[in-house]
Amino acid sequence: MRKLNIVIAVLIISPSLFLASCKKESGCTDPSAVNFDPEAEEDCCCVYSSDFETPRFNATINFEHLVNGATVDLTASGHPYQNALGQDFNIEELRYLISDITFHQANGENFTINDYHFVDLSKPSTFIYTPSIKVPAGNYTSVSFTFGFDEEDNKPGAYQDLNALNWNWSMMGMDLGYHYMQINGTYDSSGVTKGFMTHMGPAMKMDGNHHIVVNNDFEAVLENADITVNSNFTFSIVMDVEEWYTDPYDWDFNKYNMNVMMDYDAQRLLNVNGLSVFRYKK
Amino acid sequence: MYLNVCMRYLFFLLLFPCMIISCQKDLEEDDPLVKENQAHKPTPYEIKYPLHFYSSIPIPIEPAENPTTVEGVALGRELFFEELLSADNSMSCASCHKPQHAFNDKGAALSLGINGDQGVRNAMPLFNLDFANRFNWHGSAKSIEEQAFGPVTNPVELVNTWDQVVRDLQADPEYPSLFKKAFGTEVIDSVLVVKALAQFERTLISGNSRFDNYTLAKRGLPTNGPSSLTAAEKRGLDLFMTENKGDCFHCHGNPRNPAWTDYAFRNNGLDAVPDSGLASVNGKPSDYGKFKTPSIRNLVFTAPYMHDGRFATLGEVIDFYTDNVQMSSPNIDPVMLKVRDLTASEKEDLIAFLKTLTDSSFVTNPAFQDPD
Repeated sequence: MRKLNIVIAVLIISPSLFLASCKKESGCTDPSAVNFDPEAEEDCCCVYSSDFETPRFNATINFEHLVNGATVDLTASGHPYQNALGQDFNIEELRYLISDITFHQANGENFTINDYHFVDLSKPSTFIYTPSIKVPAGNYTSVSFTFGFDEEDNKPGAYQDLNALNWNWSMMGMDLGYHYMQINGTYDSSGVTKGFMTHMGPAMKMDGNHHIVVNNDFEAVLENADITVNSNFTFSIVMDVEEWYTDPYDWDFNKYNMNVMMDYDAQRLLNVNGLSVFRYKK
Repeated sequence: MYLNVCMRYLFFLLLFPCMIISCQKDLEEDDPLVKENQAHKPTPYEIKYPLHFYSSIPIPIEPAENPTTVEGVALGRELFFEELLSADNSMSCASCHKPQHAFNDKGAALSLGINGDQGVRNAMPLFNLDFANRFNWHGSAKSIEEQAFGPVTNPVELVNTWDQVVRDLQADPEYPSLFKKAFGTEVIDSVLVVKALAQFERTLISGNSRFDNYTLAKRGLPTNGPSSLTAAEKRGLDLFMTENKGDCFHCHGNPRNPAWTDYAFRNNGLDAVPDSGLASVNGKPSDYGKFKTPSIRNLVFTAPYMHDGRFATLGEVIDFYTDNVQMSSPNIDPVMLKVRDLTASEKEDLIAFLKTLTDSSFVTNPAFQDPD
């Protein structure tokens, strides 16, 4: 018995001694392995997460932006677009924020990518979102996401990249978090060009001496998003911009143009209209 | 499968000692070439921002091709104040970018070059530059290094040639050794000159105004000076931040963004027929009339205002925004297409707030003055 112990001990120790005197470091050289060693020169002994759990895959999400079926052109001349009330307008700037993309299974289970993504129509690189968090293999029947930040995530000043973009949202000295969207442009008001800034974010109003604050995010649900995840996958989220201005409420640019941030009713109206703005595209 | 994983782990454990014991170190220490290089290695310069910058906005990553070093910054400072950079040895960068004016041109709307010719743009103040990714009012340079190339040969600025600059610096008794310390070579070229200038410019950080200390105090961080605001200054901040009042924050930012700009290019409606601006760089008609949104820090030192220095006072600037915006200007930013209604006393409050962003320690910082 004692002899056997010694044999085992030698067996275990000797490779270590031998290897300790090497000139090249051994270790896993595959960056996709869980025990990847950047110092390693000789490959050996890689361990992969797939050895233990459900495999996960990368999602690539593309964003498309249409007005009445045409791709938004920020530099178009004149007022090429029309809202439900027949008011002609253009779009010079369109930026928005989404977060917590969630993949839903038929059995009610879901997987959320706890992350956010900022889209700026003047920067095509933002039209592609590849979250670093991977999605577990499975059959998903719908996709949803938070438009803006939910109350938990809408922490004032918490996101450095958004702070640098002046994306913060405050009112009457109160830090309320972040903008969710900015659509800036001009519209034709009976022959006169006027400006509009459809900015969306938390809504606030006074009730006597009390502030009433509504976080005003909403969950955008992409129906008919059948996604089978068994490899890296791609899909598109389409924004039909005209839907911000109709269904159910027809938005009147003469009523809501500038200073919309401070208009509680306008904010709540965008929240309801927003539900039909996004759709899934394979 | 299970056994397989087990075996992999066993091997992994057995190999572990090998990973800890580095075989490389001995090699390096014995190598005379490595020793030689280390002897000439300049000392890394750690660019320090005020504490509240770190939690607020992404801190710039210095370019890999031009890491900031103590020796590079010292050389850059010498070059910034070096009159050999001009054709007749009469002017340096600092002639139009004066440290005591936050590196602006002491009240000149348009600066004069060595021949007395007038430039077309107001000399920009220099601070917190690394947060921007476009330089000059019209965004013609994509890096601080690239910007530094321009004025030396500009026909209304320093009117020199790079050949001449390099010859003069090379013949100087001191510069070759300073380049050796900073870059490991005594052979001077224009690229090394602008690299050193850029390194110095990266250290020009301003973030110690009373408003900065107010912010630090609010966040429970240590302050470096007075940190309270008066009632008028607080009212001014509210006007700045209120959409149906000043609505300044959409472009110039808010207390969460210590850069106090987003550096975006906009036409603010100065003229019905504007200067071409960014369009002169990229040729896009939709960028005609757009200029870089400047930081509102240190305004006390940087008069006159706007890209052509047309407004002498902050009062004139605010009067323009309330009364005189040219709404028919092409590509005017939609944020300008509204009435900004401010009373005379509200305008005073707004100016009072703006002045809280004055960083006097920046303009008197000994490290930023002429070294000679």
